[in-house]
Amino acid sequence: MAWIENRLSRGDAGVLQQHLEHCADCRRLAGEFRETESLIAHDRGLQPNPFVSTRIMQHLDAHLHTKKSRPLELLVRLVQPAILSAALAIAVLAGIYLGRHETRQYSEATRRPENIREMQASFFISDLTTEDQAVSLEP
Amino acid sequence: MTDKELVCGIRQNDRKAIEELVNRHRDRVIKTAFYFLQDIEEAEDLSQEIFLEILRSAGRFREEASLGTWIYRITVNRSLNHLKKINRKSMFRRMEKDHEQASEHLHLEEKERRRILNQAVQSLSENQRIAFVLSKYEELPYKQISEVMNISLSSVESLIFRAKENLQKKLVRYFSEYAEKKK
Repeated sequence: MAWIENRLSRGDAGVLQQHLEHCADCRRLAGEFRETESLIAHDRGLQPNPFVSTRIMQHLDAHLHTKKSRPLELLVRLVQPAILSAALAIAVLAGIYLGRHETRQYSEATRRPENIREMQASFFISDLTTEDQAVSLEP
Repeated sequence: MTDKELVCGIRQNDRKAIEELVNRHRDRVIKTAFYFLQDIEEAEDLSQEIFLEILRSAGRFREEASLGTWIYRITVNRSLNHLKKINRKSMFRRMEKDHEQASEHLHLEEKERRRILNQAVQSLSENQRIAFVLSKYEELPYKQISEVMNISLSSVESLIFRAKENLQKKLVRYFSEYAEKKK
């Protein structure tokens, strides 16, 4: 490879050249290496398709667009659960408040003694059979 | 636009700066990817991902190395990662198929020579392959190769020397086998 790349000293290159004149196998191999070097040079000169730039920019534009809408998406993703949690908490608190309010009214009503007696009486009467009611209601 | 202005523009997602970056470095990225992948279409596809990574990691660019060196680093890493994803066997089958299709006009011997060369280069160790490709194909100076690979200059020299030695041995064997087959 050093010979192909012209890195041999003049003396060494001369010795090699003399050998190649007499050795067919080495001459053939040297030829293969020279052709291989040409292949590498050919690849070095490769010209990519200039329209690839358009494809690259389209791909990058999609990324830029995603990046711009990302803060908004992040905001929505943070705010949405917060709003839902707040709504749930309000619903639970409202339920508790309404429940307490109704219970308070009921317990206030039942605290007066005459009311309790009336209620007890009405429960007692409703438990009685028709015949019993007729007997109890007799003066 | 200087490299510094270019990097500033990319960090701010300035479309003009990004376009300038692509136009300036497109060929370098595609060709380097091609030297590893040996498939121009795949190299072009991969270049989209490479430029995307450049955009994403622009914030991490430290300016210790030049912008070109940094881009080479990303290109080499992405190309090698892409190669690892592909099964080696299927890669060789692909190379043979591509060479049959794309190089129909080439003489059979040239196609075979290209296959032999690719096989020999792919058989090198990863570091030897990187150093050889950047030196032989991209013709980068050893100093820049050492910056791309983040190794010392003497390590680069050693890698390239060993890569050429190994390649020479493999090529001699492959060419001899091919000559025997032709007889």
